Amino acid sequence: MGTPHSVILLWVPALFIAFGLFEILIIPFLDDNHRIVRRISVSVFIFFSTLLIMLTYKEVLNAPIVYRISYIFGKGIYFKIDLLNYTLMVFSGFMWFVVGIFSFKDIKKRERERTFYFFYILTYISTIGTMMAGDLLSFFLFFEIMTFSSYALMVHYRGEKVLEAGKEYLYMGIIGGLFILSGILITSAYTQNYEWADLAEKLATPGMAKYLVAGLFIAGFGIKAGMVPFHFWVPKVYKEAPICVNAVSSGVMTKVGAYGILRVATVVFPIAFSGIGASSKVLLETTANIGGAIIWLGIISMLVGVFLALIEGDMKKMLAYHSVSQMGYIIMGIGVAAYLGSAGARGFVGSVYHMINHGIFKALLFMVAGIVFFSTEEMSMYKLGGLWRKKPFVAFLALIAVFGITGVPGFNGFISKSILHGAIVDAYQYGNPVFRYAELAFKLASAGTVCSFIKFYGFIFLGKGDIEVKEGFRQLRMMVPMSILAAVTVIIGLWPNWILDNLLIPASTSFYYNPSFVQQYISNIDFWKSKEIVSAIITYAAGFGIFVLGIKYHLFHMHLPKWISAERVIYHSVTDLCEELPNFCVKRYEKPLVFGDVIIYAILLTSILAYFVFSQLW
Amino acid sequence: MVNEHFPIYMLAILLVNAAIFSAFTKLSFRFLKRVVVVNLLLIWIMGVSLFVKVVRDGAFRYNFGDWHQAVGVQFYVDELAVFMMMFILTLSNLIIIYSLKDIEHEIESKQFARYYTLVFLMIFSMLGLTFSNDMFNMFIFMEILSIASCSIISIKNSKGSTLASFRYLILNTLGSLSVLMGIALIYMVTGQLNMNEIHGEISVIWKYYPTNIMMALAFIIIGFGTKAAIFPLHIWLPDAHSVAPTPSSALLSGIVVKVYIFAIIKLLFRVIGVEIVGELGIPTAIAYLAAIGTILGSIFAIAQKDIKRMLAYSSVAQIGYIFLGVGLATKAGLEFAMFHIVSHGLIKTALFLSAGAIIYQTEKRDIRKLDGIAYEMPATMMVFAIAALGMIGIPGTSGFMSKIFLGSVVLQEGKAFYLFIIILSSFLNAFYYMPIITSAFMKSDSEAKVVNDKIPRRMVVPMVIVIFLSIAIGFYPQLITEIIEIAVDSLL
Repeated sequence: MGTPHSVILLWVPALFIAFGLFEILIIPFLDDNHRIVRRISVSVFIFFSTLLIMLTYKEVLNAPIVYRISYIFGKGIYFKIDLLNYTLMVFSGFMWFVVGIFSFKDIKKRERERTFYFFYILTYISTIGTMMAGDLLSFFLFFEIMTFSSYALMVHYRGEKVLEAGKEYLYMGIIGGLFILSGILITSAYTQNYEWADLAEKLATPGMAKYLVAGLFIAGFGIKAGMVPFHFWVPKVYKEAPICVNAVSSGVMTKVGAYGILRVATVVFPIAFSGIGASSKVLLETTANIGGAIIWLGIISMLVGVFLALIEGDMKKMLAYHSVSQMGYIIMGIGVAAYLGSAGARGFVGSVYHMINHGIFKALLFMVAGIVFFSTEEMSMYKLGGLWRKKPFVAFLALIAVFGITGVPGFNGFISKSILHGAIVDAYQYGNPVFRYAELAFKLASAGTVCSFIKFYGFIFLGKGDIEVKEGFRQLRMMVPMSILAAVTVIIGLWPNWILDNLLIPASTSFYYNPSFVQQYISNIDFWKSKEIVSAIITYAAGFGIFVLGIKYHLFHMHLPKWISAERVIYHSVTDLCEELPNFCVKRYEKPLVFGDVIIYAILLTSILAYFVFSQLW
Repeated sequence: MVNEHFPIYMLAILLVNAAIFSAFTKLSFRFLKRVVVVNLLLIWIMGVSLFVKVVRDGAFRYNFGDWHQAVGVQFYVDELAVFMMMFILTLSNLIIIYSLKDIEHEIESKQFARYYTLVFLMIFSMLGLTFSNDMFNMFIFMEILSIASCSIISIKNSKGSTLASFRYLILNTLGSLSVLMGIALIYMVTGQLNMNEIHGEISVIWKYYPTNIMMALAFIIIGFGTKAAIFPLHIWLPDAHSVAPTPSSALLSGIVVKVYIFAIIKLLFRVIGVEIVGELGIPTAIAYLAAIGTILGSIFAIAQKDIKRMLAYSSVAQIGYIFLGVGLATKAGLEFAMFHIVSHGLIKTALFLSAGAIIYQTEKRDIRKLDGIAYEMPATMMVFAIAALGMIGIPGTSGFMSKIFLGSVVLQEGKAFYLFIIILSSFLNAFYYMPIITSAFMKSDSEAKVVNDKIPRRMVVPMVIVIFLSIAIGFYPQLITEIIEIAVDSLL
């Protein structure tokens, strides 16, 4: 371990950002004659930056790396790499790299390819930045950059409909940002500090303010994470976005929202506050209350997402709703991590693990949907069928992904879902018995997921279908990233302990979770116990049952009444008001105001004088 | 070399130039441009050296003809004044460099010399307003400024501009009269015009003549409020700022209004004193008006179709922010007000200049017709987009630091309601700026190719510098906060 090495380590954030900016600067200069160079530079940058981050493993294992840049934003900002964000950063790098390979074929508007890669890299940098940020201001900086640059990715295809959907994404992003900003401001008003850590002690004092802060943060991050009731942007914008953007957005960017909730729940309100005193007791209580609320939010997201996915016929929209539902699992895990205090390790590990697993199989599913769409030009599941004969390899990969998301033993979804299931069991064993219902809801959502994917796979790949497949569609290069993702799905499913032992368990102990608890429930976990497998089989049976019922009674074609739509209630009410009210005001009052200028002046002057005179009299 | 006479030299140079421009209207425009640029640079360099001198050696008073301050004319050149001076000079220089090209497009050629006469008169009077330390002189400079701005609004000679300038004239005259009335009322009880003398007297006598002082304050605040477009008195602003030639819109919206706000700050806190003002409940009233103005300005801006009118309404909202800071009447609040004066000055200037560039190249003023314009003029729209994001308060621009400052200030004061106003207003800002950005960048016709802007480089460079300054302050607010802290210390 020589000096140069440690110097490099200390400079990782700076190096990362410097290289990123360099890459961003050269992309505009690589015109379309240098398309190959541009693509190689994109891949190489993502690859090496991920490698750079990975290099720090040993140091991060010992202690978090902190890198401070003074003077920015007045007080200076700093970056901090600990095991939690190390894991997520490496994961994001992996996803961006794999999806990057896919995007070479996917991005159709060739003349705008340069813009696409510019924002692709910018989004990557800002995502890593949000994860690496050690204080709230730099976090917010990267978070907002991520919102805007990912907006540019989402609306890559342009056009009326796309922009309309993109507008919704953008406004929701801005609203979320404002929620977070108010949270940051209130927090810093109490603590005079913008750092993630250190906030705990001071937040123990104010009364309701801490719940307000937590609510603002959870709403803000929940919008990004696609949490119910802020989920409506997800299907809308995913439908119009390019496949690779869906993959990175669902795979990583929604996770940033979840990561934010996790940080708020565990760092701003840390689970095991070191001191023992009145303040730590208050904090623990607060954290438990907030955690309980988060669990229920997660459960609601899970159920609503799965239900909406079941009655959806459009492939991309259905996958989008499943993103909502799977984010519900993650948010529920985060809730448990906060709710149970030092015993919440299973929630913590499970949610982080599920972030990774969900990212992988959901990206794969989106790619499958993309390939099906490219070769048939059809998005509706009901019009497809029998594709396994024409595209056997795609069908095989799709099957792996479906097994992943439904939690078949031996695939990655099973691993994280069983940990999460354990977490919710912990919640009612060690906490409030009311969470037994949460566990039931969990099982119901899992069964719904199974049903939904039986439907997905059955309608697209099985059965009889006479849809034409375009000849000459070269999919070979798209198969590479898909195969990588499928392989990872299986590898994690078969050898889950590698990630657990090297990353998640050390991370959970560094987060003050009770080591003996971690030892008992996670380190020695046996995923091949008959109990787990039986419960998986039961879930499958239930899912199949729902599927049969659904087909028989045509439940999948149900339409929800309009008034129930969250989009209508939350988004359109706000935007309509913002559009109508100004028009009304201007029409009604602008002219009279402008022409009544002297009158206004006179009224104001007299009223102020009158006020003064009268206040003098009394 | 730098000495106490510098403020006078600067004013003299400006005044002489204005006189020369108006006397020799036959000068060729090329020559005129050179004179303008050389003189502005000279003034700016003098300003910088004065700034350095004051920051290093401290404030000084300058008595004209060595008369005693009670009878003579006095300049008080302190940190606050030189800070404001640097803001005025730097920003107006950039705007004027931009205007050299743009103005050919905006007004008739015979008006050029007159235009620069007026611009120089405006800068002259703004500097005078910042420096002068007695009420009477302040009034004089204020009048010069009002008349010059009024003429500059009407210089286009169209029906709309005449109407707008007439309205501006009426309201501003009313405002000036109010201020004069207020000054007279104060003079009545104190017998003084010099600000320091008044301050010394007023803390003693205000118990004896409270009605007088209150009426004086009411007149003064209404008067200056009219000029600074505080909420219900903002009605002249959208018309005036949207019909004026673009560079002067930027001057008016970015700087002139701020000078009046600066005058209000000086009057309330230097002349009357924070205790008396606080006792009368004036800051609270200002803060309420500001909060309403912030929201209503944005609401009116949303429905506008003309881009410059929209920017003008947005100014009304942003002025609300500044008055909110003033209305808190604390050190931190005033620091924020000064910071936002600079921050909004930069951002709004960038917005007006880029809007002007759009009008210069395409003649389009309607925001619904800006689809895909970023492909025709990428640099301009980049400036516009960054500035608009700054208005919304996206990190990395000075607008974000403003929002953070204001947010923490109101929370420190325990007035969480204003935080809600700030957040709501940011959302409304997003609601009228984002559609322009998205339609400009995303709604391209078919296969649009990106081409370079067809506007002269002399217009692009000032815009880029302005937005660069805004970003620099956004990342390193201490570039100006340090001097603001010293300056505000001297005020309270």
